[in-house]
Amino acid sequence: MWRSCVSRGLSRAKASASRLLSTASSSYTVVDHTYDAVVVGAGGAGLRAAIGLSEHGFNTACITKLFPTRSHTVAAQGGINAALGNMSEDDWRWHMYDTVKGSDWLGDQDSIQYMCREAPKAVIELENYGLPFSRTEEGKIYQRAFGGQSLDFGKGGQAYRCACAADRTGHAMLHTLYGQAMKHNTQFFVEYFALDLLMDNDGKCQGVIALNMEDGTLHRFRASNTILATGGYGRAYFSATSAHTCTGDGNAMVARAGLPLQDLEFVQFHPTGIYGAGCLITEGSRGEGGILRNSEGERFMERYAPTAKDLASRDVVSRSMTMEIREGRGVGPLKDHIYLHLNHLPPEVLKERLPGISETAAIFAGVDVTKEPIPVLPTVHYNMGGIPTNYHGEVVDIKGNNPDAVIPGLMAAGEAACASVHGANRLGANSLLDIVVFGRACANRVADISKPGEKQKPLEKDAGEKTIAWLDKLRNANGSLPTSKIRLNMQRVMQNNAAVFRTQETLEEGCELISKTWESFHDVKLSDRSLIWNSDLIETLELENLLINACITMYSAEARKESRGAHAREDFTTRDDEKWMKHSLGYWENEKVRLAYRPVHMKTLDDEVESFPPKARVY
Amino acid sequence: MVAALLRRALHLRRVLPSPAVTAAASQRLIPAFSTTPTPTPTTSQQNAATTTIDLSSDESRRRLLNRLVYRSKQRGFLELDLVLGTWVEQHVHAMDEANIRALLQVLDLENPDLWKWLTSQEQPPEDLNSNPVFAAIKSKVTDNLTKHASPETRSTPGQPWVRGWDDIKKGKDGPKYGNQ
Repeated sequence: MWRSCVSRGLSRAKASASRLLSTASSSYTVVDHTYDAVVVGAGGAGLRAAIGLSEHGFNTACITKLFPTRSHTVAAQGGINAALGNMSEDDWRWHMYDTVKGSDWLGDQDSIQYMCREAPKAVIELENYGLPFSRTEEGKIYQRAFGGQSLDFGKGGQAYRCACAADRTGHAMLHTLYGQAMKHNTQFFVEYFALDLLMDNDGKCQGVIALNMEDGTLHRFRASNTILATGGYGRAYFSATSAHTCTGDGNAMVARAGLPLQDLEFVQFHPTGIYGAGCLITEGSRGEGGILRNSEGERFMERYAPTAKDLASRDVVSRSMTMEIREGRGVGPLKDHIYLHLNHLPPEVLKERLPGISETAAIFAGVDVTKEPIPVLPTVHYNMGGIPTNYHGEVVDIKGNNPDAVIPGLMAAGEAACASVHGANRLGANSLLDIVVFGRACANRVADISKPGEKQKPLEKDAGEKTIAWLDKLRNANGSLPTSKIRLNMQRVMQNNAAVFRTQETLEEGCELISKTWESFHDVKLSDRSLIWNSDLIETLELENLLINACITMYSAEARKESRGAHAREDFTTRDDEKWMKHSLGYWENEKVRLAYRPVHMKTLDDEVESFPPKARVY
Repeated sequence: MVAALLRRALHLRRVLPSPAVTAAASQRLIPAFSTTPTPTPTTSQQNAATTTIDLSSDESRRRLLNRLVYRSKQRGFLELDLVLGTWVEQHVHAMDEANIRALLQVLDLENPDLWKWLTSQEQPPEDLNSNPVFAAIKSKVTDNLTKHASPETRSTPGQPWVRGWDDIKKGKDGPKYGNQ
C-alpha cells in the first residue's frame, strides 16, 4: 500500500548540480553521482570488494550507514577456515566435503568448491595486506580446531584449519581491509542510508538511491555494477547476537526490486542467549554441570535427551527449550524464556573454568549466579539465506527455463548473499571466509565484464521518484503505533513461531501473525519529522526492511515440508532429497510473499574434485 | 591532545597472545609458539578531531545528540551497543560541551579494547581513566558487578572472559555436545 499506490505524477524543477523533487508537503534535494562501481555496506565483504575494485582501476564508491570499522564483522571472534596445512596435512577438498556435509547438501557444490579452493589464496592475501594472524613458533599462520572440521573426507580425524588473529579476527580483518581501501582511494559515503536499487526498464541495475543522514539530502549513485554487502537480518528475531545494525537492508532492497531472496528459512541458533540482551552464555557452562529448568523447576532435558541431558547437541537443546516455552512452562512474566541454573556449581569452577560468566550474567541480566538462575533462550547467530548469487557473486533469478539468469549490474557478497555455500547450516568459521572470498570474487567478476570509465546509460527519468515519495509519506506517517511497538511484535512472532521449534501449526499461525504485523505497519506513527539525524525515521526504514525479511522467512519455512540443517520440523522429521533438494525463493509482490524454487547445483566446476552425493547428516 | 595521546597508547599496545592449545593440538605443535607480532596500527575513526560541537540552537543540539546516540548504539558489537548505547541515551541530554568532547574520545576507541577496559579484562591506558565519560560508564559496570556478581565467582582482573562460542573445546577432552 505504501509503495504500490504511490503516484508517479511528481512535479520536477531543474537545477545545475542537483534537482529539487517536490511532493505534497516538502522539497527534497537530490544529488547525482557516477562511479564505475558502487558497494553498499562497509563490513568485511564490502571492504574486500572495494579493495579489489580499486586494484582493478575502477572508480568506486562505498555507501555505508556506519563507519566501516563499526560493522558487525568486528564482533567475529572465531577465525577463518582455509586448508593451509600448517598444523598437519590438509587439502581444500576435505574442507569442501565438510562444508557440503555441514550444509546438509543444500549448498551449491560449484560455489563451495570455489570458496574452499580459493580459501588459502584469500588468506595469504590478507596476510600480505598486513592482517596480524597468530603464529606458530616457525612463523607459520597458527591454525586451530573448530567443530565439524575433518581430514580425509571425514575419515581422518580432527582438522586444524581455522586461522585467527588472537580473539579478534573480525576486528583485525576490518581494520586491515579498511586500511587497504584507504590506500586505494575508495570514496566512502559514511552515514548514508541506502534506500533502494535503481533498476532500469530492462531489468538492469543502474545503482542505488541513498539518504545522507547528516544533511537530509538524497543521492543517486549511478554505476555499471552495484555490490550489496549489507550483512544479515538477525534483528528480525527477539533474541539475536547481532549488533543492532543487522537489519537486512540489502535483502529488502532486492525484494522491493522484484527479485527473490533465497533460503531465508535457514537460520542458525545458539541455545543460551541472555533474555532481552542476546549476549551468549557459553555451552561450556552446561559442560561444567549447568542445568536448564522450566517454570515447574523440572530439569526438562532429562525428558528430551535421557542420556545426554543438558549436554545434548545444540539443536536438540534449543528445540527442547522452545517446546517448553510453547507448552506454557516457560519462566518470567510472559513465560517466554528458560532458567539456566549455575548456583549449585562450586564458585571456583565459575571463576577458573568459566571466567566472565558471573560478570556477564550480572551486567546483562542483573543476576547473581550463586543465588539466581540466568534467564536464557535460543538466540539467532547467523542467517544462511540471503540474496541468491552464483559463485561469481552475480545476483541470479529464474527467467523462463533458466534458473540461473544473471541480473545485469547487480551483485552481492557476505552474509547478505546466498552463494549458496552454507546451504542449510553454516560450518563454523566459514562465515569470515565467505566474506573475503566472495567480496574478492565480485571485484574479479566486475573486472571480467566491465572496464573502468565505461560510458553508462542515463538513469530513467523517474529513477528514485517512487522511493522519495514513499520516504516522504513515511516521514509524515501519523498512525497510532510507534515503530518500537511494531518491531517488538514482529520479533516476538519470529521468536515464538519461526525459531527452532517448527510444526505446521506453529508456522501456519506464524504466517498469519507476521502478515498481520506487516499490515500494522500501515498504522505506524513517527514523532520526528526531520530529515537530518532522524533516528525515528532510520529505525522505521530499518523496520520495513526487517519485516520483509521476516515475512519471507516465515512463509519459506512453512512451505518446506522436510527437516534439513537448521530447519528442523517436528512433523517432517527427515530430510527429503527427492522433493526438497532445491532452493527456496521468496518474492515480495504487492506486499505478499510468492514462493518459487530453483535447483541446487550438484555439479562441481571442473574435474579437480568430484561432487559429493547426498547422505544422511550425522555427527 | 588527549586524543592524540590515546591513539599513541593504542598503537603501542600489543594484541593478546594466542589462546592456549588443547592437549590434542599441542601434540602436533612445537612445544611453544611465539606471541603475535606488533599488529598493523589501527585506524581511528577520529570523531573527536572532526565533529563540530554546536549547541547554539535547539536544532543543532538535536542533531548532535541524535548523532551521538546513533553512534553509541550502533557499535557493531552487541555488548557495547547495550552498555554504551544505554548509558549515552540516558545521559547525553544533560551533557555539556566538555563531556561531549570526552564522549567523542570514547567513541573513537576500538570495540574489543573498549569492552575489555570497561570490564577489567585489561588495564585501560592511564589517560583514559581520567576521561569522565569513560570513568562514569566503567563505574556503572563496576556497580552492576558489585551488586550482582559474588566475589568468589568473579574472574581475576586481567583474565579474558570465556566467549559465547567456544568450539575450541570440542574435541577428545572437551564436553561431548554441539552439532557442528
